[in-house]
This record gives sequence, structure tokens and C-alpha cells, in this order.
Amino acid sequence: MKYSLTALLIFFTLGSKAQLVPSEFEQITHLVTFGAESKPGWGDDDHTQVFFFVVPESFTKPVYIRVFDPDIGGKHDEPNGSWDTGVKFSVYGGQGTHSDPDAKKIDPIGNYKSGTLLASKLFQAEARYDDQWYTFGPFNPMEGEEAPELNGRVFKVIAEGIAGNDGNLYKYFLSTKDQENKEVEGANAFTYEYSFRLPEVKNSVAHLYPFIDDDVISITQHNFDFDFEGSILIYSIAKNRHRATASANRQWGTSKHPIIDEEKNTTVDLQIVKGRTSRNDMVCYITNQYDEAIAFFSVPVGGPPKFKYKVNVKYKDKGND
Amino acid sequence: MSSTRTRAMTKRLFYFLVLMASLAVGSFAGPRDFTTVLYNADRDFNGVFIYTIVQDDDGFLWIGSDDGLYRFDGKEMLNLNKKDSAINSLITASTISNDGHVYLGYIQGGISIVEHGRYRKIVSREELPNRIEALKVDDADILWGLTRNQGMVRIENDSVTRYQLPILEELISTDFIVAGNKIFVSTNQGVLEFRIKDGELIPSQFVGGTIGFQANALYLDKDDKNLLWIGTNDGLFRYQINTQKIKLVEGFPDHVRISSISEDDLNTLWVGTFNHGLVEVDLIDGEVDALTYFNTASGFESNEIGEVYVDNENEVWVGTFGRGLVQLNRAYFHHYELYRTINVEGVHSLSNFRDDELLLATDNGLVHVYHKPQRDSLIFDKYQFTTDYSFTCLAVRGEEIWAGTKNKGVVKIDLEAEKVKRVFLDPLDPVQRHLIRDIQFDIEGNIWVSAAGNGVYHLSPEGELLKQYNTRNGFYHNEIFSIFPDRAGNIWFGSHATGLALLQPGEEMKFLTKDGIFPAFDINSIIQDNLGIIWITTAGSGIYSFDGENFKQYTVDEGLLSNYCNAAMVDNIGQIWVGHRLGISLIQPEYDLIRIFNHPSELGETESELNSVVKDVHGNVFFGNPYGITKVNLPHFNFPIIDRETHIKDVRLFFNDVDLLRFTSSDKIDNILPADLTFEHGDNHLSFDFVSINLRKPDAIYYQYTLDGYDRTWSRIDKANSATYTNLDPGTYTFKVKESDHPDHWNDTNYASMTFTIKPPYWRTWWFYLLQITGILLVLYITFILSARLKSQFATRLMVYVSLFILFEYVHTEVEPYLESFTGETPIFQVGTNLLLALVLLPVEIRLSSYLKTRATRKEKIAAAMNKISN
Repeated sequence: MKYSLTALLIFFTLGSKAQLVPSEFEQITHLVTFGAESKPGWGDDDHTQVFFFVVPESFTKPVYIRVFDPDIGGKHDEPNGSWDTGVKFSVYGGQGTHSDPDAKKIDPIGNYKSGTLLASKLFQAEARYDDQWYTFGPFNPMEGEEAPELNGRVFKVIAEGIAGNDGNLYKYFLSTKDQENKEVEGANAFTYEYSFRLPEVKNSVAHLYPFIDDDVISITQHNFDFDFEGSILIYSIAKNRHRATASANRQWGTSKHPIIDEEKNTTVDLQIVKGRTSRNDMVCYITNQYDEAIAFFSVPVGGPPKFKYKVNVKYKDKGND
Repeated sequence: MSSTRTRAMTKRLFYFLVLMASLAVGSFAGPRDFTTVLYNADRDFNGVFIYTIVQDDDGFLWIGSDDGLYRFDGKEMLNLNKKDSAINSLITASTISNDGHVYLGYIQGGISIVEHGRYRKIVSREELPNRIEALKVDDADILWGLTRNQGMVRIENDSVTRYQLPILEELISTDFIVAGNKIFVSTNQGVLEFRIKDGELIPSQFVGGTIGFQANALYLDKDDKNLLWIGTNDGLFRYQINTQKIKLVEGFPDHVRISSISEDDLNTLWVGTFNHGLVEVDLIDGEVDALTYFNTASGFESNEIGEVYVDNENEVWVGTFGRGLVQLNRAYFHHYELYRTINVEGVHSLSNFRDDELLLATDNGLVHVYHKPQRDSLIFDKYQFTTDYSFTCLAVRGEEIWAGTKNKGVVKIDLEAEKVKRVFLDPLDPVQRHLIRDIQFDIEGNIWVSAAGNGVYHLSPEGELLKQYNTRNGFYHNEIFSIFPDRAGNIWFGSHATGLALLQPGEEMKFLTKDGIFPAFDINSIIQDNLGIIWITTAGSGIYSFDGENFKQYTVDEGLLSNYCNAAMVDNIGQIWVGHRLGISLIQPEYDLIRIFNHPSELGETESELNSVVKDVHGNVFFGNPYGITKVNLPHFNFPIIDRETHIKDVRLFFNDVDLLRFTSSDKIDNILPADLTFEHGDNHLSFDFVSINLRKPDAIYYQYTLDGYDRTWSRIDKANSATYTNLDPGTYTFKVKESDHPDHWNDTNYASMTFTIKPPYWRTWWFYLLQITGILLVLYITFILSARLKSQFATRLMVYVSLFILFEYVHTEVEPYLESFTGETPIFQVGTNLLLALVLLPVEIRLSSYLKTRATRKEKIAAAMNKISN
């Protein structure tokens, strides 16, 4: 993942204030991970979600990674029969956390648990964690992996469905405090494959913000188990809601979209528009022309894109003379 | 667990309500006894995240931080990363072996040992590529190491054994302890127990009650090796190893996450937390007696504690996570200001009350001093129903409180009924407006009351008058300032102007001052120490001790702060604390020393009230002042004289740091400095830096030094820890330095020394002397040869005399420096040499003339003979 200096400067100028994952920008309610015994048709293709948190190099205080409602049961989660699911949250740092090639893959294969395991906890149906925040840490930012391309240090959180078939809905927050959510200024979070719950209401829009760097000439979006419940649109500085292929139940929908020069080093907005009111979980990822996954940032790098209208005001069209 | 939490919450609510109620009636919670010292860039310490702290046997404190490894000697924070490139990674674990070596574990794996000032890898990072969480040395001096998730390692005599245990590879390990043949490991899923059998580690079980808990810290109790303290993300647990019973320690805040546990020598656990700062846990018989919190709400530096360590002198070191290193200083003294807080003046008397409480007799009523259950900060509560009384003295027996007043005689205070009842000392004199100076209970329960102007009343335990002692019936004075019933049943009386009296059982009153036995006239107070010795404080004559036969006096000449001694108390180790108006003195009979404390910043209020002192059940001494009370924090501080090791840290040339390895041929590096240092003659300006480690008060150490071969005696006593010698002559010297806690107390056998040599210049070497002598002999020889051949007598004489002058000048130049100690700067030797030369010249001239004449005559004869032959 390469970023131009300009993009990084923009990234920090905007000062990512919200480190809630999913963020307010994304309009997504929860992240979702189902137990290992769940069917893919419930919206999770691999029962694993990997998220990365970037702490700016200049930040030298302890950080905490907080998980909201980490248990499986109670108020927010998706039951399938009795509550019998275990999900393990693990935090990694140190060498290889993000730089290992397998860490950047969309599937939990190979050495995706690269780095040093810093903290881990298995949650099941536990009322005391229901609708509550659980805190991992404190972590010394130096224990994250140094990532000069991100001007910070990276931690990785892996949520794995270990057993059962229920769905765990949860959120993250990168905080400077143990018992409250206080953002780390300049921090961000990203993932290569997003597994999430869509907003329920018809016409609501969820946003995913992949960052397109300058050697991308095309992107291929992949979405899973959308159930044709609406439309998927690509919005960028140069694309005004280009339609992308939506997926059916337990199926992948894929479409390729070229990237023009103006879109390089910008954020693209992948919008998922609900066509009806329903509860739906799905998975998304995007690859470039090399089939490499492109990261979705919780806080869009450089801000949400704004489509730039182009109107020809200089030359008269010869055909209408 | 949830019912336990419910009970805990109920208790906290109750205590909160009690506190609110007490605040409503005019109470005040005193601050605690600690100050903190933050080590940051101002103190040459740049570490922010502290992972490990340990102290070696020499007293050096080793700190592993995100800024590398530091070593602290009380004065200097040395960043060892800068000095040694072998240290290039975060140090996350450390321990001290039984033979005093420091072992270090690294965040990226590997273990090193510090030997002779150098680091040596025992286990490389490649062999053990996993974060070292903890290092411990067991009783058999075997080093054990725990990695985060790759098992354990055992090192014995440099032989390394790895234990890659599958169960530990699934978990995150945080800490461990070795308890006999068992090892307990805290993990993110509970505490695991292993058995050590035939060199193998066999997993046994999870400690019951910890399964599923994130356990972060383990600590084996110092006094009870079967008691294991377990710190978790759900609080502190005590686990009895032999009975396998586990119990949550109550009183900790909700969501507290324990990170580290340590213990001092006074039965106090120090518990660091990730989110609630530091907790001091006072234990009695392994049970929690009091909790004190140090967090940001109370002014502490941080709520995120990574490591807590108690050093050899019971100083508490707190490694925070994000705020650096904090040293917790328990103050020697603590002053509780009561005038501005609860409007109380004149604490004239103090008394123990119930189990662990105090009562204060003040000008504004009676004050109750206590601490909340499981909290140790003092609460001061004024009894509102007593505010009309100015109390002067107290005597407490259970719930029975006798108090003397300024103008209302003696009263008894009923706290339950909130009533003050007048006591009539003399049934024949019901109208009494006496100032009461003292009230005491004797060993039989009788009551003795001193009333100003009316002498002493001796009452039965029920309060009935048995006898009155005043001048009308032969008593020596009606103004008795102090009454003291000693352990033998004697009653001592002290007055102003007429001194001391003694009533022994069954005997007549003895007037010791009047009879010329006791010399002082103005007695302020009388006490008795643990050995039975009576101590008498006076106004103007210092303090006296009486061993049953002889009185011994202590005044300012012996080191007392003042000869006006208002109050005195014996502490639990037999030292005498004396209160003056100007401060406090401490008489230490063990060392035959007196220390004084009189700085306001140290004491707060310095003025001690007359006969106003008490010792509480813990051994702390409280002095009453005009505006509050001053607490002496005993038994934490007994001010012992400790023999410390002095370290000669460095030798500098012309004040500059040099690589001392250039000046030695030794391979072995002992302690801090190389051995057998040898300097060139030009490197004769040497500065010695030394330190004796006192982490609590590094500036309180006194030093003396001497240089054998140069100095005749020890230097003057000073606190500076550096000595410089200039223009040293070639030779072998030994630099010695010793330390002391007190300028009057020295151990002459406890000193550090180092021997070094300054080489002579080439012109003072034996071979150069030989060369010179050879040269002079050669000159003489050449003179002899040439003089035999030269025809010119003038030239011959010249050569001989020049040779003589050269010889005498050489002798004069070489010998004179050695005679300077006799001749000083006077030219005696030079005059003597010249005189000798002159005396030598005469016989030389005579002989030379004779020789030349003989030579000339011989030549003439030869020439004449030749002529004759030729003719």
C-alpha cells in the first residue's frame, strides 16, 4: 500500500477525529463476525475480521483498543438458536503486523496472525460484557509495527468466530483512556475486507472508503450476500454514482471499474443503498489490477470524495453551429 | 462473584454516607504522608513507559524503559544505551541473582547478564525470539524466564533449557513465580500451575477461581510462602496454595486492573493498576486492614502503572505507562493543620482511644481522630457538644474519658450520651474553677489530678478523694506540671521552680531537687522508656535520663536542639523523641547520637506544646502544636546508621572523562572501574567520583577521603562526592573514601579504595640515571686520557675543573629535591655543595700541580737524556 506525500498530508490535516469503528462517516451500525459453524448465507464468508489501527508516530502516550459488546448474546447480537458462539479478539503489534504479505490478504490464510500477540480474550455469552465496552491495553505505541508509509505505528485486531453459529455485532474504539472513548488525534483504522451490518431502513446508505493510490488503474469491487437488497454505487471525484454489481444471497457480486488519473491518490466512496427495510449483513472488498486488496479506511483519507462536475464552457460544439 | 460485588457496592455506599455525614459536622480528612518525585528530562531520565525496575546488591536501581536501560545511583541517571551498543532493544524483564548479577530480558527476545560492567548474552534473540515477560531466580539460584507465548526457559550455570509448552503457546503469559516445586504462571485465561519434576515442567491445572480471568501479576507473600497474591483485570485475589482457597480482596474500585504487586518490610502490599493508579494495602495477619489510593484524583502522576518496586530501604518506585518513573517518598513528618480546617487551636494533650483512634484535648473542645475502615487517611472530627470547653489534658480508660479544663476543673465526657459531666475533686469545695494541668491513671487504676494552685488530688478508680497533696500538708509545691506513674508503681511529680519529687509505694515523699539529688528546677514532663529508664524534660536544662541510680543530662552541648524540652516520647525501638518550641530532637542511645529536625518545610508547624505527645498503636508519635498536630512516621523511619558500600564510579583526567581501559592492561573489569590503572607522568591531575547509594536521600550522605602517598589524614567531612588531586608526583597511590549517615559517626573499616600508579618521566627512570652516570664517567675518563696527552697545562687544568664542576652540579641537581623537606626553600644545600666543591678544588689543584710538575720534570729529564745520548 503506497501513499503519496500529498495524500498523507491531507490525511493528517483533516485530523481523523472519530476513531469509532465503524465511524460516523461510514453510517454502518456494527461490525459482524459469525461463529465458525455459521452458514455463509448469514453474511460472513470466513468468520474472521481483521482491522488495523494506526497510531501517529508523534503520539507517545498509552493507547487502548476498546471493543463494544464483545460478547455473543444479549442486546445487539444475531442469534441462531441458542447462544453458543465464541469469538476471540486478539491484538497484535510489532514486526510483521501489517508488513507481512498475508496480513494484507482478504482471507485468513497463511501467516495472517503475523506480529507479536499482545492481548487476547475469548468471549461467549457473558452478560457483564453485553452492551458494554471491554478494554485491551494499555499499549505503548512503540509496540505497534513501525509503518513509515503511514507515518505511524500499526496494531492489528483479529476477531475470529471460534465456535457456534451466532453473529457477534461489535464496534471498536482506539482510545487514550481506559474507561472512556477519547480519540487519539491523527489516528485511523483500516481493513482489507469489511464484514458489517447494513443500516436497516430503506434508502439508508452505508459508505466504504477505499483509498486509491497512484499505481491503480482499475479496481474490482467484490460484495457478498447483499441479497440484491438495493444498489451499490461508486462515487468519486470522477464517478458520480457508477453502478456496481450487487450480490445475491450467499453469492459474490463483482464488477471492475477503471480508475482515471484524477482519482488516483484520492478516496472513493463505495455506497451501499438499501432498497428495503431489512436486517442484512454483508462482506465487501476491493482489489486493484494486480488483484491486491485495497484498504478501506474508517475515516476517509482526505475526506469523503466530492464529484467534480465538468462543464464545457470554452468551446462551442461544432455540430450545433 | 456478583453477590460479592453487590456487598462491596453496599459497603462503599455506606462509607460514602458516613463521610458525607462527618463532613456535615465539621470534620476534615488529612492528606496522606507521601510526596512524589517524578523523574523526567530534568533529572536526565527520558523514559516514559517503564517495563521493569530492579535493584542490585550494590544499591543501583536498574530501570528498563522505552528509552532504554538506565542505572540510578541516587544522584546520576545513567542511560546505558549510550555507553554500550549491546543494549539496543527495550528491556521488559529483569532480576537479580543470589550472587548479585543483573539479568535482563528483551522485548524481542533474548536474555543478557551484566557482569563486571559488561553485558553478555546468555540466550540470543535468535534462540528465544519472543518477548521476555518475567525473569526470576529461585532458591537454588536457577534463573527462570517466561516468554509471552513461547513457554519458559531455565538457565543453570549458563546451561539453557527451553520448555515449549503447547498450553502456553495458546495463551498470553504475563508473570510467574516459583514456589518450591511448583511454578504458577499468570495468563490471559487464568493462572496455570505447573509442577517441576525431574527437570520437566508438567502442567497441572488452572488455579480454581481464575479460569477465564486476565491475570497480570503474581506475588508470593514475604511472610507466608503459602500465600499467593494474584492481580487480575477483575481485582486482587489472595490464594492459599496449600488449601487451594481463593478470595477476592474487597475495597478495590470497580473495573480495577492489577498490573504489578510488590511488598515492603512493613507488611504493606503495593499494588499497581493499569487504570486506577497505585494502591497501598496495609495487611494484618495477611488480611487487609487499610487501603490508600494514589491516583490522578489525589494528585498522583498517573493512573496507568506498569511496574511497582520496593527497594532495599522500603522506598516505593512506580513505573508508569506514559508518565515515566515516580519515586514515592514517605515523609518523615506530617503536619495536620487543624486551625484553618476545623477551627481548632491549642492541642494540649493527645490520647489513644479504642483500637486505632486518638482524642485531642484542644482549646475548642475534644477532637476525635480516626480513619475510615480500610482507608488510612486520618479524619478529624470535633465533638460539637464539647466546644464550650477548653481542654488541657486527657486520661482515657476504655470508653471512660477524663479531661482537665482551663477553668472548669475536671470533667468526664460521655460520648454516647453527648454529655460533659463535672467532677468534684473535693466534696468540701464544690465550687471549683481550677485550671487542671495533668491527669493520670496509675497501675492500680487510681487517678492523679494536678490542679493549678491546689496541688495534687489522689482519687480512687471511682473518683473518690483519697488524699490531697499541697503545701498545707507538707507537699513541696501547689503547681505540679507533670505527674507520671511509672511501671514500678512510683509516682513522679514535676513542678516549675521546685523541680522533681517522687512518691514510692509505702514510703515518704522524696523531694529530689530540694534534697540536691536532681539539679533541675523546671520540669515539663516525665516519661519512661522500654528499659524502665525515666526521662525528665525540663525548661532550660535539657532532658535527663534516670536509670534508677544516676541522672544523665542531655543539652545543646550534646546535640539537642534546645534546652527547653516541652514533651518527650519513647518510640518502639527505644529512641527518645523530644518536642521543643523550635522543632524536634531525636536521642538515639544505640549510636549515642542526637539528631535534630527543625525545618518548617519538613515539620510544618515546629512548636510542640507542653507535655502534648502520644504514641499510637502503630508506633507513630504525634506532637500537639498550637494549630494542629505533627506526626512522626514511625516505624517506617528509625533513622538507623547504615553502613553502605561506597563506589568509586569514575576517574577523570583534568576534569575530562577518559576511557580508563587505555590505562590498564587487565582483561578483567572489576566492579565499575578497571584495576591496576597506570597513568603517564603528565596525567597527574585526577578527579575521583564516588557515591554511596541512598536512593531516598542521596544528599544526606557524608564523605571523607584520603590519598595514601599524598595526604596524611582524612579530608574534612563533606557531602560532595568528588575529589581532585593535581600535580601528583610519580608513584603509587591508594585513594580511599568512606561514607556515613551522620557526621559524628564513622566506621573506619568500611571504605572503598583503588590503587593507581603515575609513571615517572623518562628522565627519572633507572636506565636514564644509569645513562647519566655512564656519561659522567665517560667524561671523567676522557678527561683523564686527554689530560695525559695534552701538552698545555692550562687545557689540562680546564678539563679537570670542568669535569669536577659537571660532577658536582649533577649531584646537586639530583639530590637537592630529596632534601627539600629538610631545607625547604633555603639554599643551604646549594651553599653546602659549593663549599664542598671549593674544599675539593684545593687538594685537586695540589695533586694536579704536583702531577703536572712531575710530568714536566720527567719530560725534561727524558729530553736531557736524549740530548746526552745524541751528544
